Amino acid sequence: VAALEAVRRLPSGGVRVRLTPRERDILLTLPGQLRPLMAGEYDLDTPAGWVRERLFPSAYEDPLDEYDYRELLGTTVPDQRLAAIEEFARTLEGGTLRRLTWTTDLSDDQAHAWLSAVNDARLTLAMVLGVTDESVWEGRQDSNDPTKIVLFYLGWLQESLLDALTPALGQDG
Amino acid sequence: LPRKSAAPTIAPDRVEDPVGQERDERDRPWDVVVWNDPVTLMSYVVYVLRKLFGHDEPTATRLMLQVHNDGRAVVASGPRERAESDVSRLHAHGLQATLTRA
Repeated sequence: VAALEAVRRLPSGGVRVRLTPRERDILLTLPGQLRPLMAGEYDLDTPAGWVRERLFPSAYEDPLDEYDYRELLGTTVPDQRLAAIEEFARTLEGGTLRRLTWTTDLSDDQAHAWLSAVNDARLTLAMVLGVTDESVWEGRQDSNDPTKIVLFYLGWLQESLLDALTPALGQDG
Repeated sequence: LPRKSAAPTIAPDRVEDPVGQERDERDRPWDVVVWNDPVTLMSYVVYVLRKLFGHDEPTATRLMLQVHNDGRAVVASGPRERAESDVSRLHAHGLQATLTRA
């Protein structure tokens, strides 16, 4: 279903994303699922609370240290993640659709927003599926579970984004 | 989900030199620890470590493999304020990270 090379680096900087309309439709569903997880309070005994705990893990073992750290940080981390989701959503709304390919060019900053949103979606879907070890990635990946299919697809898309963004990190050393 | 740090905070049991001990405690660096999780891509961990800490690819790959094989790796050490900043940047990228006394 997916194109062989979804994301490639542009000589002038940034990346070009080429997806099928079906792939884009899948991605368009993600912001609506992720936005509520970036804000608000959740009971830690609920599935949404478990996802939220994974998206925003503790920095300290000690609860008092953790409280001080969260007070200091405020909503900085959720705000950054939400901004990335909004940029992801905005760029998904643009682009051009010709025949069976949707194409858009992203700056490196916009591509990083995609990386962040896709990563958040993978973490969230994995929590929904109850992934607790790496055996899920072994063997055949031909599940009929739509959530699992999207999880695998997002992993492939994230790899493609990373391949295109890594050269921009510059020379080693 | 992977286990979090279980390092306890150990209260000093001798008080001959409380001021000195307090200073020593303050001066001890903090380790930034990245924890393994079964979902985050290896290539993503390498990318984030290179982007945030400026590691070259072999160093970032070695740290990622340490996370993968040992369950955790210390990716940076330093004063508490800087370690907290590093942890928040790792959290902003979706990695499981904690800080603990070195």
